[in-house]
Amino acid sequence: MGLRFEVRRPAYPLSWPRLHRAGVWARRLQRVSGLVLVAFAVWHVFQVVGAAQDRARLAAMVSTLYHPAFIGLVLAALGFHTLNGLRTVLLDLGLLGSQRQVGAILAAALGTVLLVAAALGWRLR
Amino acid sequence: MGEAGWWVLQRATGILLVLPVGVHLFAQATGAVDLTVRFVSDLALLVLVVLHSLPGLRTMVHDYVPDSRLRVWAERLLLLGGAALVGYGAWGLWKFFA
Repeated sequence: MGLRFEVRRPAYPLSWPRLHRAGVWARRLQRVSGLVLVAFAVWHVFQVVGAAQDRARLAAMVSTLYHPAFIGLVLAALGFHTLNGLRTVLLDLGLLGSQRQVGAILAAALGTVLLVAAALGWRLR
Repeated sequence: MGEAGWWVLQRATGILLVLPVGVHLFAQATGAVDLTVRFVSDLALLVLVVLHSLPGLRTMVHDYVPDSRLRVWAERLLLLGGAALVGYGAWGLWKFFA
């Protein structure tokens, strides 16, 4: 009899700190973008109700909604929240390995930049 | 509703939201969507946005509110606010499209 030691593989891959940092930032951005979208949704509901009663408010709402800075902010929040949320769902379902998380987060960020660029290109054409 | 229920609600509504968001953006950009379709899609968008945001806001309440009684009241406030927003928004959409 005696103590037996079992050699186990590390619980986390060697890139854990990098992976961890990226995940933390993705989670923070997911939360901030979600709050931006909730604020936008509440504002938009009140604007639509106001516009239904007064056509002058409709013009003001459209003017705000189609402002390039506003389009950029809302679509950046929407794009990142959607793409990073999709990454989270795939991770939860086991369809995306933890080794690919950094790449998936970068892909979500790149997709967001492309979406915003396409929207601004459409708006400023 | 249990924690698993909140989890499923957030994921399911998140996936379902892609369609009405897409229709909304396409309609705004092109104007080439039938008014009835826009009304139904916007109504679905409103309901799904509220159902999707409630679990997220509830998670934040659980993260930042340590007092359990305060958490219960905050959750009730969220549910009430969500229901009010759906009612007010649905009425506004009806008036807007009419």
